[in-house]
Amino acid sequence: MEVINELRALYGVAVKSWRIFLSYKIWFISDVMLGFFFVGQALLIGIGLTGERNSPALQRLTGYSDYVTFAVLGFMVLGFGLTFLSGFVWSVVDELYAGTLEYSFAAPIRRLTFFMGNVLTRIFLSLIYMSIYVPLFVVIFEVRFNFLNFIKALPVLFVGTAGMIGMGMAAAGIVLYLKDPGPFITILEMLVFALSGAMYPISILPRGLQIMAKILPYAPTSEAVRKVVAYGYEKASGEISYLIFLSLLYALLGYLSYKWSEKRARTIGLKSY
Amino acid sequence: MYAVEVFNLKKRYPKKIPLPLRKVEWVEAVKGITFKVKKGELFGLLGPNGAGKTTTIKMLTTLLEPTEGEARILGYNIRKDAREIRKRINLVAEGERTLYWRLSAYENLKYFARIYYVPKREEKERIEELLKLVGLWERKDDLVMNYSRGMKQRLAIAKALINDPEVLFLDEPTLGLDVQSSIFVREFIRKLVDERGKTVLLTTHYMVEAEQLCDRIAIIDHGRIIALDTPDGLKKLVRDEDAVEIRLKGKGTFDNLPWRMAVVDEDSERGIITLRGQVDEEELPKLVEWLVKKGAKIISVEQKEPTLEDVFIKLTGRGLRD
Repeated sequence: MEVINELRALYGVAVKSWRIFLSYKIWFISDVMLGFFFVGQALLIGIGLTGERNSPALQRLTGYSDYVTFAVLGFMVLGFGLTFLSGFVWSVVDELYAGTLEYSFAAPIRRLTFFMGNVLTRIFLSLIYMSIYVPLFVVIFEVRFNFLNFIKALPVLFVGTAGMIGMGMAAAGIVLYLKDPGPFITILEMLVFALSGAMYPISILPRGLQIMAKILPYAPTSEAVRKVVAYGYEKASGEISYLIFLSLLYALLGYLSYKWSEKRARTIGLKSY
Repeated sequence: MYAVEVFNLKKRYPKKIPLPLRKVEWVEAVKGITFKVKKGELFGLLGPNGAGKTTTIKMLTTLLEPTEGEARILGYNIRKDAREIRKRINLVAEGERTLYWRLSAYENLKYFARIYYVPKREEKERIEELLKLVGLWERKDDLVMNYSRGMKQRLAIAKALINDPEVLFLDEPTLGLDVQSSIFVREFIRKLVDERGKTVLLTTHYMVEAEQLCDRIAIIDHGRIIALDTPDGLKKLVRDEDAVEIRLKGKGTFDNLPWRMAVVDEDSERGIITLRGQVDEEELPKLVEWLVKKGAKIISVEQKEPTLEDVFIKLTGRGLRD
């Protein structure tokens, strides 16, 4: 019964979130266009810099010679990953700005359910965006990758998801303390994008940034997914083992840090508290 | 059995977020309050703005953790059993923007039904019943942003009943409402207690509201309960003395008078100030003389039936509006 109640609550939050999103129709169009132009330009810059689609340098660094395929795959993983980060932080911020956070937090629904309900809507949106982008990329840039292999890599993506949820929870905990969380979220999202290894291999980053990229869950997820798609599970075992360790660590630390933040917020009286 | 039991509850906040190397200054919002609310009782926390009423409600609804002291709601400890309490209570918070304005009334209630675990078989019926009860059924599909302030508050009350709570917390439920909406909300709250057996704890700074509605009232000021009784019991504190109301025109400040008088109303358009308090027959001419010396033009001096305002003035030397 408890599980059914929680699932119904999860669906309730997702539907609410979806309806509110739909009430801003123009955002949907701008989101789709922004995403497409952003990635499109990044792809063109990449091609411009390498001089050709198939780069021997990229092949040496990542095992992929086709830059466009490399970047589209990275973008798909990043788009999915950012969904969790954005879902968690914006579910706090949107409700704070609307003045509704107090009512939602005064209800018996579990916090994780509340956040995941919001994330669910964003995942659904992300899938819609991808279903628009990918065919366009295939047509415009002649992207070639094996979708069957990508589906095979989905379990790896789900392992990375645990870490991304943890990261989202930790960020949501920080947001509870900030007077104006907008700039923090923008910087965080940009940082995650820069260190995700979505559009370029992280090995070209300066040493310090490489370490940062390695300890965030995004780049290790992108790397593991790409390796599974290109070479299969056996050759990606090292990447997968590291990802499992990192994801579990983030999931645990994220959960604990959010719990601590919320308890602290309830104690010192921040934001809607 | 008691629905709400509060023992020496305290809450202090830091003025700014505590950071390493930052000197933290603390504000003590609630300074050790103790009271009990019986099941089926309508209990009021009456006090001016900043008295600690909202902080108390937030602690009792598990939104805030107390600094010290204990409280039990329906036997559950607010520190340890937050989720059990949340299932059995509900809240109408202060302010207008507490619902989703971009959703309809029906969609709002459906969302809250889900996060309060209302069983599927009861959901539809409950939402319909509540929307009819607060007179919003005909407008159920309208977006909340198109509702008037009064309609939004009625919807907030319907939301607060979605899980059929045993205890209802209402924070300033008529604040900012027009007269008609205030009357509707007050009558509705009374009916919830009389006809549905709900326990209600409300906060207000409207003396009339507390007097008309509440079975018992705790007067709270600067984080402390300074009196607790039935409205009649509280009024007995001033019954023997004369409640006097003086209306005057004047530009000076009439706060902190050397008598137990306080400004209870200020008509800035007409420049009329109303003072109220307890002054006996011998002292009254001295008071009038003092006011005239201060530049006041006396319009009227009337003896009045004592009200809770007089109780508050007697206990604090200030009016509830301060």
